[in-house]
Order: sequence, then C-alpha cells, then structure tokens
Amino acid sequence: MLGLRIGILLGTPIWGLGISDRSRVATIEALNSGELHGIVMTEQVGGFGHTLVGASVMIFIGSLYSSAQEEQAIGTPDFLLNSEH
Amino acid sequence: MGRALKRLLGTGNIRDERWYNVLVLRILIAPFTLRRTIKSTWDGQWVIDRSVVRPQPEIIPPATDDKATKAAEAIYCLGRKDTTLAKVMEKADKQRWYAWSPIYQHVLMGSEDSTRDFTWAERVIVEKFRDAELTGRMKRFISIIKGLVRKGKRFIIVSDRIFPLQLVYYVHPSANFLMVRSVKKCWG
Repeated sequence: MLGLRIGILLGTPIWGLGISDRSRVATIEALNSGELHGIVMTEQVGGFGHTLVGASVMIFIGSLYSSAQEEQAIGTPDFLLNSEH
Repeated sequence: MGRALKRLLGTGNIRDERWYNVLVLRILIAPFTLRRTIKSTWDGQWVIDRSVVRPQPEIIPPATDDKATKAAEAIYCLGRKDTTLAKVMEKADKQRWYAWSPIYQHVLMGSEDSTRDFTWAERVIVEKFRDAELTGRMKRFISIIKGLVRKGKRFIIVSDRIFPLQLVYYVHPSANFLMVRSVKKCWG
C-alpha cells in the first residue's frame, strides 16, 4: 500500500474535492512543501500562473491537443512529439 | 472569453463578484503568456536562464501485453462522416480513454453528454474499475508512480481531459495503488 497523498488543480470538482481559489493555493503550497506526493491537473488550470516547484516529474496522460500548451508545459519546444496517444 | 471581454471592456455589472473568475482571466491572457520558450529573450536577455537544466521528456509506451489499444482503434475507428475536427477529436478521445480503461465505454453510455457528466464517470469508475482488467497503459502508469514514490520524487499528472484524471486519482486497494483522499486533511 502506497498511501499516497494527492491534490487536485482543476477547474471542475472531482471526487467531491473543492476547486475554490483557496483550495488551489492550499494544494500548491502542500505540493511545494512536500506534504503531497503529487497532484493531478489540467493544463488549462495548472499550465500557467502557478509556481509548482515542489515536483520534479510531470506525467502527461497522452499528448495534449494544443501543441503550444504542451511545449509550454514541457519546456522544450524543439522536442518532437510522436503521434502515439 | 465573452465574460472576460465584457469585464475588460467595462460592460455588465463588474461589481458583481460573480463576474470575477481567475480562470476567465487566464483564458483571456493565455495566448499572450504562452510565448515563453527557451529561445525567448527580453531586453537582450534570455527569459529563461541558460544555466537552468532542461527537462528530458520521455515517451513511455504501454506495457507489452497491451490489448486495449487495438480494441479501442477497432471499436472507435474513424468513419467517413467524421470529417470535422470536433468529430476527429471525439473519436480520438474515445480511442485513447478506452485504451486506458475499457470502463470508458460505460461512461459513454450515461447521459446524452456523458463525457461532461463527471459525477456519472465517477460512479462508473467506482462500480466497474475493480473488476476491469488493468490495461497496458495502466500497468505501466502504476509502476511509474511506484518507482517515483520509492525514489521520494514528487510528481504532477497532466491531462487536457477530466476522465483520465478521475481515473488515476481513484483509490482502489485491489490494484495496490492507493491514492488516499487524505489530501482533504491538508486544509481541513
């Protein structure tokens, strides 16, 4: 059992968890302080305007439809993504 | 976007707090803020310092015993009528989320627009995921998360759709993959 602590950074509530600005700030602080193991987020909500320095690994569940946002999130515009979904 | 423009142009009752939504503002400014790349400069200086270590992206294929990908492509193949971008995206979503977990077909059986009925998707996950076979993608994903936790690394899981995030957030003991909802305790 891993017993992970996961936060959410979404524009839509999932699993009954709140999406208020207060919740978002608390999630980001918890991730950056190491209180959380990780977060799940959409690139639209978490992709910009937040300082997410607590995590060192990003996992994309498939490619994003917006290549500009994907490049922004990955930070390597020269990287060629394959078409595998 | 319409709301953000109304607010920007001063039309509508902007004193009404309902008009303020940080997401609306972000949608408005996103096209302008997304221009930061490793080649970006400002006033003759690099926006991102050259000393910053660049991330190394890696594309991880599903586990070798993956059967769901072919099944998804067969069930939700593109038809002759799927000529618009919206239709192609719809089929692509169906293929990729079915390839992550076949329970997605039950999500599609919900309300008229069940892909936007997030509560319905959660009910399906709770009722069906336990008995569903883990796909090659899910097995690989679980092993990656376990590896990261073992190394003490923190992670961010990103998608442009809600269903996969609901799925990976889900807690299930039988998968030995617990994402405990104790996150609530962080802010009481």
